[in-house]
Amino acid sequence: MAKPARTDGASDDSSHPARGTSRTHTAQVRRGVYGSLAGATAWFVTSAAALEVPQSIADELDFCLNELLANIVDHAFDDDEVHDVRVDLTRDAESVFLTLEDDGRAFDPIAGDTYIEPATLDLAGHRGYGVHLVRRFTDELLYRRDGGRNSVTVVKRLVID
Amino acid sequence: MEITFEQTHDNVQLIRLNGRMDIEGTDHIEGRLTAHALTLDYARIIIDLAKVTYLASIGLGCLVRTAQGVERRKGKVVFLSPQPLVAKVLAESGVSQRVRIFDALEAAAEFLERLPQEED
Repeated sequence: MAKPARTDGASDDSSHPARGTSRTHTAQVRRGVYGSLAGATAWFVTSAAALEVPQSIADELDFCLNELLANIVDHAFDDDEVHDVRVDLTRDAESVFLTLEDDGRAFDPIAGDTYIEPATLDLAGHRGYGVHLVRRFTDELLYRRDGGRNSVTVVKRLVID
Repeated sequence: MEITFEQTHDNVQLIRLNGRMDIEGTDHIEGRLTAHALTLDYARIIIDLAKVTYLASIGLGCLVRTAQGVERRKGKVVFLSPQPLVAKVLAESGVSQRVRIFDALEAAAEFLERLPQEED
């Protein structure tokens, strides 16, 4: 029988499509303030080790977590209130799933990659790499908007077909 | 995040970065990096990434800004020995197509030393 997810703790979350061992964290985020990223990273490193996620995959998921969370800090909210962002890390025998849920404005990272590789160094931008790189680091990227909340799931395969 | 500066070979500067180049790390070193790199015309700079364990997009932007600034002053930046995750960030962003990456210090220094030091 499934147990409810605990903040910062381990849980068996049968509501997740992957149905495997999972860990959950709640990042408290305020517009323009990046302090939540360090806590999320520390939680992720501990959780990925506990779930025995291979290091190379954990490194790339760490990257995706930080970029997506920074994107939420930068763009999701119109107010300066603190918002909870739920982060789930789940793995089964074949895949690892990293899910972020927030109550900010709708943002679909799958829609329209507008990134263009710079033709010269001078044309290279200083911003705008994050979501593009998340796409390139994932095997599959899922997005759902439900009840005023964004849910983005990064999928990394453990087993190569 | 740490940053150190060395002179290596003739007219080649070596900037070593150490740590996690995330928002906090980048904020910690960017002022010193750009202040050092953008001081001289025709600067030849190796940025050693061997001990950079993580490169966020904001850190990538910092490296791009530095390389652009140096090139606008007729200089050149190359990167040295990025770890796999950092190398992947550089590759997938296309930046590695625009800034040379070397695995060995000697090769990087020789490349920079062969460049003209001043315009005719």
